[in-house]
Amino acid sequence: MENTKNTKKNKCITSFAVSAIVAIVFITFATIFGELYKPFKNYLADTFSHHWIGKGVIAIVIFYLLGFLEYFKAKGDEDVMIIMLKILFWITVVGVLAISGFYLYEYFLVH
Amino acid sequence: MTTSLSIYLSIHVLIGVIGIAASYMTLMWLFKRELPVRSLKVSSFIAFVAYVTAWITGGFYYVVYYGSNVKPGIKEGPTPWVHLVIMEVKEHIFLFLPILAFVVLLVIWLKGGKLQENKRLRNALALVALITLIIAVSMALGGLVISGAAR
Amino acid sequence: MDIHSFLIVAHLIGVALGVGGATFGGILYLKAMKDGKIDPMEGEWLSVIFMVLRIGLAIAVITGFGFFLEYRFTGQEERLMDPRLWAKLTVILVLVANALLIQMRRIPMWLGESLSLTSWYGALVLGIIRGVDYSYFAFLFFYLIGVVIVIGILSLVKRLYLGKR
Repeated sequence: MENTKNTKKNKCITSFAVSAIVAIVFITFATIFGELYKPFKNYLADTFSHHWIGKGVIAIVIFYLLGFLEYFKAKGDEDVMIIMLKILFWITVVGVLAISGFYLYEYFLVH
Repeated sequence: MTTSLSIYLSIHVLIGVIGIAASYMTLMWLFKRELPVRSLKVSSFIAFVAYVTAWITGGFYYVVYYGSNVKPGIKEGPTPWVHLVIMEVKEHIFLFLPILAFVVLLVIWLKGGKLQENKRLRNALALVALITLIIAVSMALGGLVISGAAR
Repeated sequence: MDIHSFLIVAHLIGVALGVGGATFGGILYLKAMKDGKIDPMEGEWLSVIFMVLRIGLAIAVITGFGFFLEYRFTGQEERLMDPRLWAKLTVILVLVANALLIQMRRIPMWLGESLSLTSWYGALVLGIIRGVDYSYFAFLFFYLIGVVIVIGILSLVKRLYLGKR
């Protein structure tokens, strides 16, 4: 019983760690792509009244929907759960550096 | 700026700081010899709620007021990089915060009792909590610079 | 009482609790280490002092951001770009990072204590001084000198009080 409960908890955490990774990758991609390909940014603005709202809404939908769906796929393995959390950390670091680097590049080198 | 926008901005700033404090305490408590699980649950919950609230209030201010009233002034002023770099980075990286804070909350609430003996999990969680805190602090500092450039 | 006065009073209370907490925490720690170990009662007292210190820090930071909002709403935005303010913010960041490193046991106590004391008094001084026109880096340079001096003083005090070499 205890083992089953533990497995379910591991699955839940793993699934949301995975969906967090995907959501952060999406935000990073959408941010940079939106600046390089204006029709995408305009599409978000037209659909959601503002491009930033669009990115936020899509990211949240990805996070919670994928988190929920991944739960049924995820194994309750503790090692996998821990690895996913570490990957989430590194993806976040890369996302921060990518977005910051992109805007710095745009301003200082392209502008 | 209308009174309601001032209120939104004030809530955004102050609740953001509360979120930072909550994230900081979460991280601090993860390194205590005896983990205060109940306190961790409270702090992680406060951090998540705070970031969501800061997101909504800041987002409202940004969409309704900043774009048409503050941005043009900054872009045409002596420090256009404040919008073109700092604000652009801030508005997008901020989206990471509620997501990360939710993951931290989830781990603590579901596995809080196991964190004391499971050092690997605790360290992995601490990494996510750390990057959450660093991002949150950067958001606050970025906000200061942006406000400083808004004349 | 208007908002500005309230912020000043609250901020000063936070600073007083923080600076006082850091000072008496240091003194009590030194006294506790006289016999080479911290017994449970001493540990409890230190715990209380550090709790008060953290409350002081929280009050100081929140009211500090209250000031920032005040500057924003009263057309004093240029004050947000003051190098003295940014030096103070940097010192506060060092303070909280230091506290975290101490908690993680990733920093030697002689450095952690010195950083803590210098940061609290440094933030106090930076908040009070007026009419100085140094750059951000100049302020930080003075802060670093302060850290070195405090390391020296604490080292001397420990040697005299604890009899350490």
